[in-house]
Amino acid sequence: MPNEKIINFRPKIKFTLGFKFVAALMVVLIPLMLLIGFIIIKQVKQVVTDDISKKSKNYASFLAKVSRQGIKEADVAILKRYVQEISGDKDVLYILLVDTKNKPIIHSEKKADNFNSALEVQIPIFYKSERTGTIKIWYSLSRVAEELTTNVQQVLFLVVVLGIILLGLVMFVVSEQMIFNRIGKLLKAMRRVQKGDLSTRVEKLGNDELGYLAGQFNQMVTQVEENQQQLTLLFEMSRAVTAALDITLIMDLVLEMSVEKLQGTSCSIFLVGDSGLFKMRGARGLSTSFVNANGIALLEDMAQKALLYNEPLVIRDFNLSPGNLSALLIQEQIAVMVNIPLLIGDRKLGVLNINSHNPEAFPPERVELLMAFARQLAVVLQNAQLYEQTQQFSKELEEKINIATGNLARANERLKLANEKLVELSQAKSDFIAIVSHELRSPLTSILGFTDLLVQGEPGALNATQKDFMEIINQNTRRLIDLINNLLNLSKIEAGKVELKKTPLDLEKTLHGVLHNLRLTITEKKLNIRVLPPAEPLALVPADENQLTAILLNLLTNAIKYIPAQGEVVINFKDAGKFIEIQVIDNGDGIEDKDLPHIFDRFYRSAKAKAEHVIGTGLGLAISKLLVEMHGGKIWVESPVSDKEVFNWDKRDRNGAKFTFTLPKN
Amino acid sequence: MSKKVLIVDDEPGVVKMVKYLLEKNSFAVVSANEGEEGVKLAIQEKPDLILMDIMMPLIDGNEATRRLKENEVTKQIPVIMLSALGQEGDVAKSLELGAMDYIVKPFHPQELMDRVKKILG
Ligand SMILES: Nc1ncnc2c1ncn2[C@@H]1O[C@H](COP(=O)(O)OP(=O)(O)OP(=O)(O)O)[C@@H](O)[C@H]1O
Ligand SMILES: [Mg+2]
Repeated sequence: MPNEKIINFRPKIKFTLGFKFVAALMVVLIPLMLLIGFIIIKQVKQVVTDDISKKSKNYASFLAKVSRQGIKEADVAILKRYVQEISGDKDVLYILLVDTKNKPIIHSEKKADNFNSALEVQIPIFYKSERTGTIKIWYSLSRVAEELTTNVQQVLFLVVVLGIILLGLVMFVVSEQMIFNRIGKLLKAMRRVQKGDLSTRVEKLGNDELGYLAGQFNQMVTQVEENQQQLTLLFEMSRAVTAALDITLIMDLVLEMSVEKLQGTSCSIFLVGDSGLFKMRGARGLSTSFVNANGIALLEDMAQKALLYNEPLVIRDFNLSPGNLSALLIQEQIAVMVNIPLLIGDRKLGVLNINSHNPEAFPPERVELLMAFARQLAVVLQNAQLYEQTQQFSKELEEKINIATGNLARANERLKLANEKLVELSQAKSDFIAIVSHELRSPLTSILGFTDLLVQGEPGALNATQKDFMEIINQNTRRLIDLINNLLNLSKIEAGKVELKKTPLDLEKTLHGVLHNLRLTITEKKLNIRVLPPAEPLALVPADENQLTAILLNLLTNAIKYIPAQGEVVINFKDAGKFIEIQVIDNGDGIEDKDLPHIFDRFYRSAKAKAEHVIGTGLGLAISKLLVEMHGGKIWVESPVSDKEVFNWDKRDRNGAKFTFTLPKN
Repeated sequence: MSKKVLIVDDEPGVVKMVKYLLEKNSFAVVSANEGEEGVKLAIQEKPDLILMDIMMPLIDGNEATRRLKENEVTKQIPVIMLSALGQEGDVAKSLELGAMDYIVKPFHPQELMDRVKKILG
């Protein structure tokens, strides 16, 4: 992998940056320092030498002047004195006065053994333009050395300072030139790459680390660019095929792209059909002669191999293959053949085959790309197959639905008809009941009227038996009338023909209205009716006055009917939060357990009620229940009454019955 | 002079029963057994009160009442409906047409007489 290459590769660099740096320093600094030292030493020497030679010339000329005569006429003593004096100068090591024949005349004491490092000054002595001798003075150069040592410190200091300054300068110049400049270039290139310009390359930056870095950078960018190109290609191809759901279209796309983008000269796709049949489904770029020579079967053979091994099959050298095969392929100019199986997990969908004339085509990374593409393609193909299936299914489903809908529509039609019939029927039923009740009522009017009159002794008094019989007729007439009324009510409620006209009602007032209607029976039976005053004034309750009257009337009628004479009925109102509870409690015999579950059923009457000839139709509670529920309330019964003491009744008294119904406050 | 009451009802039993009741209470009674005849009789007899059934052949009690109320001669005569139709709507409809009262059949004779006397004093 390219990355590893970069990491593991140790650069073989001839001149490292450090080397270059030191070399540059040496080249510049050492000669410079040498030069400076040389110049300084030379300067110092010059100065000292000048100084000394000047002095020595003075001495010599003085001595020469003095000794002109002295040498000739020789006042040696005086000369000696002068020589002595001069040699007092600590720089003077030795003075020698010689005549023309170089014979020493006068000399001073030698201050040193040898004068190797001494400066020798010779001054000729002339007397009247005639040379009379020579003065030789040896000067000590120790002063020069001294001067030098004191100077060298300064020089060194100077050199160091200069060196540092130079170093800085050199570093600046060198790094500017050698490093920053180039790093800048590298950075610029990196930034460009970062921005996505993968065509960026860094020019050759020399032979050092930076050069290497640049080289690596270029290599890397090239790699990335290649990868990117491959990915883009893969992406493009994948996108192209993913967008298609139709298998034929997908294959067209793939075949086209294989030729166009993957540098294939020919290609084909093989798919495993539903029945397991492996078959070519499409091809591009194959010559007719190849096809005619049964080349397809050959391709299929190779493709099948790839499918068998579950891995890409890349064949480059056909010369090694069996004769017939190679001959045909060489004739078709196929130099490289790639067969890539299309797999999803273990499922083998088919094979993508691409061939090229170019023997260099399909290097490993291309094959890798092809494999990636093949994975995508497999998914897409599977999706397409699924889609095809789904479409098939949905088509079938649609047909089924259509059939079902047709059936449904017909069924609906029938239902509608039936419903219409039912509506008609129910209309007919309530019409029927209305008509029947009318038809029954009219004759009952005269029956009730006449029996009423007869029982009252109109037009003449009846004997006891006649009166008894007449009373039975009268009573049963009333029962018949009740039955008709209740039946009519019930059928109207059930047909939804009763609409509640809700108004805010004062329950106590409605109750007193009902009690007023019942006052005759109440006094007749000597009953005690108690309306318990509510703990707090009752809120108005939205209810239909007529229907509420019907409910109360039935409950109170029942209580009155089913309790013995002198019994007691209590009416109690309770505020129960969202509801008002209305209770009708009596201290009669109550309702037997076996009757309790049924008393709200229509036409249900207890055996006891029937046996005791209490008049009733068995519809009152059924109607009451419907009406209460239409108001959004509930109705229930309790017998025996559990809290008799509240009504001041003895626990051992008759069981009693407590009917409770609720009405919502809003 | 005794007050005159017109009974319009197609049910002979009812007519007979009501007639007996009224005559016993000293009212003069005329009767018709269908609507058209009832209207004719009302114009002719100018009764003090009309007791009108609703469900009758040909024209019904409501239609008869409407005609009576449109006629200058009869429109002041109070009408009490005597009907087997006992639903609220029925009652309201008749009262709207100008009936003064509405008694649902079957009724107790006493109830009828109470209502009649209330109107005729
Ligand atoms: N307060 C009560 N005490 C004892 N039994 C009762 C009481 N109220 C109702 N029942 C029983 O419940 C039965 C059903 O009552 P419901 O009011 O439905 O019919 P009914 O009173 O018999 O006839 P109607 O249709 O005239 O009211 C009654 O026949 C009676 O046996
Ligand atoms: Mg009842």
